[in-house]
Amino acid sequence: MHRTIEITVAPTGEVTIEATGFTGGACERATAEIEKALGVVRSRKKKPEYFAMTSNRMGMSNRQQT
Amino acid sequence: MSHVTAIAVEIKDLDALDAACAELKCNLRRGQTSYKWFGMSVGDYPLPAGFTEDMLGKCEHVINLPGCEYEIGVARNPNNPKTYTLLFDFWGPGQRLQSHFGNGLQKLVQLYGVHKISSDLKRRGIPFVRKQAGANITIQAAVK
Repeated sequence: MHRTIEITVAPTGEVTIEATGFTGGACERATAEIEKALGVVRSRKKKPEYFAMTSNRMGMSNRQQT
Repeated sequence: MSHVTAIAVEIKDLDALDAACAELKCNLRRGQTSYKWFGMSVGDYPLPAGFTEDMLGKCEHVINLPGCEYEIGVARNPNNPKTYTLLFDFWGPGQRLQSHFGNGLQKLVQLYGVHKISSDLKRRGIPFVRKQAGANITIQAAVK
């Protein structure tokens, strides 16, 4: 899956950043520099896919322990 | 998709502001320390956060719209000196500033954000496309 960042700038000065195709925390690392350059983060919502990837990683870790 | 972030734009980068001004057919005059306005506050509107009456009219840079008597002051935000506040008078001749830049200078702030993002992506070598979607401007970047 292609990894893309879509940034929408509204006339109100509000910016929305959506990261697509990343796994786990990689998306936050990809957008952090843009967020820091632009201004103040008002909110950050993790999508279900974020938790799915985290959950998969934990499952793999448990299997390796057994 | 794994996360969505909402950000309020702060003006920090004069080069991005310069690019936004160029797109809006106005001029950023760096180092001009006063901007043209009515000249005195009549107290009918609250001052920008952190500013007092004696700070009005003073700035570090100025945005000049050709043909407009009043100007926009680019002043350090007293509450956050790493950022700038845009000061302007929207009465009388200042109505031209509102009509050109939008209510609260929204078009200028929006294009500042667009140019700030664009320059950041160029510096990092990330390809992107810019699209207009109604009043919004969207930048789509492909990350390797």
